[in-house]
Amino acid sequence: MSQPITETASRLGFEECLQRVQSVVEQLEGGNLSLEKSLQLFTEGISMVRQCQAHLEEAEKKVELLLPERGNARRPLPLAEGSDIGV
Amino acid sequence: MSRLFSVSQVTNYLRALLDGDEILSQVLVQGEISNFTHHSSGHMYFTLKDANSRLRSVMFRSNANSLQFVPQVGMSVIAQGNISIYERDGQYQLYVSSMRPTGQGKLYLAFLDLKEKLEREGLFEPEHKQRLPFLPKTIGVVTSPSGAALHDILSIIERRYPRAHVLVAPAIVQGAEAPASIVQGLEQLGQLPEVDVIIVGRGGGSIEELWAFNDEQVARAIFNCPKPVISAVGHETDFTIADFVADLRAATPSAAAEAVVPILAELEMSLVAWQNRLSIAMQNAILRKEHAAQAFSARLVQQHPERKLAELVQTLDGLDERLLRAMSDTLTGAAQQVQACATSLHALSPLAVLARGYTITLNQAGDIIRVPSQVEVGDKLETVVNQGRIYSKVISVGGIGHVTTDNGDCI
Repeated sequence: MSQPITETASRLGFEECLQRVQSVVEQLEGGNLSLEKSLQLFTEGISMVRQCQAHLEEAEKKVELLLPERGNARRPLPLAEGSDIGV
Repeated sequence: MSRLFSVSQVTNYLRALLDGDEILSQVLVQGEISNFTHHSSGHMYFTLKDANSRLRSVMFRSNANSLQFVPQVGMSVIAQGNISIYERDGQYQLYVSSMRPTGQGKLYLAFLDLKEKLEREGLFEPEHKQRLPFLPKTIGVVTSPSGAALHDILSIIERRYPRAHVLVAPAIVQGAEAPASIVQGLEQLGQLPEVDVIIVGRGGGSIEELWAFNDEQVARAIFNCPKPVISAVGHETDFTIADFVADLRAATPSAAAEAVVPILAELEMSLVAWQNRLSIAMQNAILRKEHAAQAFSARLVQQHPERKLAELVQTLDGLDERLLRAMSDTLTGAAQQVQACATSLHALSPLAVLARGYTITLNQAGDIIRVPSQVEVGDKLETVVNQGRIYSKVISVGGIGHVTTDNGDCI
């Protein structure tokens, strides 16, 4: 099992972003920072929150069925409760 | 002469022999259960017997808990475990780690064989387990498109994380074609870059119906899958090889869905909470700086030059006052001195001598006449007396004792 390639280097995943926000908040709450450093952290925190939101909004709701006999083609799978979702 | 042993020494020696034996340390024993006792401690004590012999057996609570049937007297079973000696009684017995009724004996043996083989190969090792992505963009599912498992998975995902993208690789999940079908589904989903995690499984069924998930090829496909794989086979009590090799074993398909996606609403709330905390932390950071600035500002005012100046002015005023007082005191003193001097001076003044009746006589040049030889008859003289002057003409000049007449002639 090789390592999954889930995130590009330039962009952090939701979890990393959230952890960064948490770390920023804790640093800010700890005080003893220069105003400049505080503002820099705050800006970073806000940017991380935005990234988290982007991650949450990114996924597109859909359920698809893989059709291997047609070269990995897909077709949407109806999601209605109790409906027949046979192949 | 033989060496003398204590009973304990003999027992310990035998136990060491048994424990060191490769066969006895991992045996499968088929037999019928008799003398079964399920002790209140949770341990099970029983005897396995066949037509000719008996084997005392014990199954400790930790293993007994995972039994998937209730052992009963007369039941035919296959027990797996090791043979060792119970020291107190000096009796050998089978320490059972797992047990199955022999109804499914053949399948069960095959299961144990494969499990052991793959375990030896290291397929179950924790270091091979991949971490599940926290927020998968696309979730692959290998299962029957018409099964209850898919329905459960989709409805749980819909409830927790409605935005999820689910890609289903339809698979046959029971029967002879099932293993190849499941392997194909895993391989297809595994190579799609957008797939972050894969659930493989099916709903509950008999052990035969679940058997595809005990297939070696399925196990290897799970192991070789580049994406994290969650196994979700049957019910909570069903354990398959797929469960051991998967990165995570979910008790049921619903549990797999719960494991694979977080609850979106909770995430959003948590995010809002963190954002608020961030803003408050920043506001507080600014407030702290403001307070610090105010404190410094107050201290700065203390140091203002004007304030210093006022202090200096006050000092100066004080000095000024002292100066004036000192000056005035000095002047008063001087005046008194002058007065004293004037008094003594007055005592010495020639005027005071005049007052006592003495006179001073001057010639016309203003010189004081001290001796008679300074004047001649006819000179005009000025005599200063007390309160005035007298002007006269010399009518006679002479030494002491010289007397003149009224007209100035010497006698």
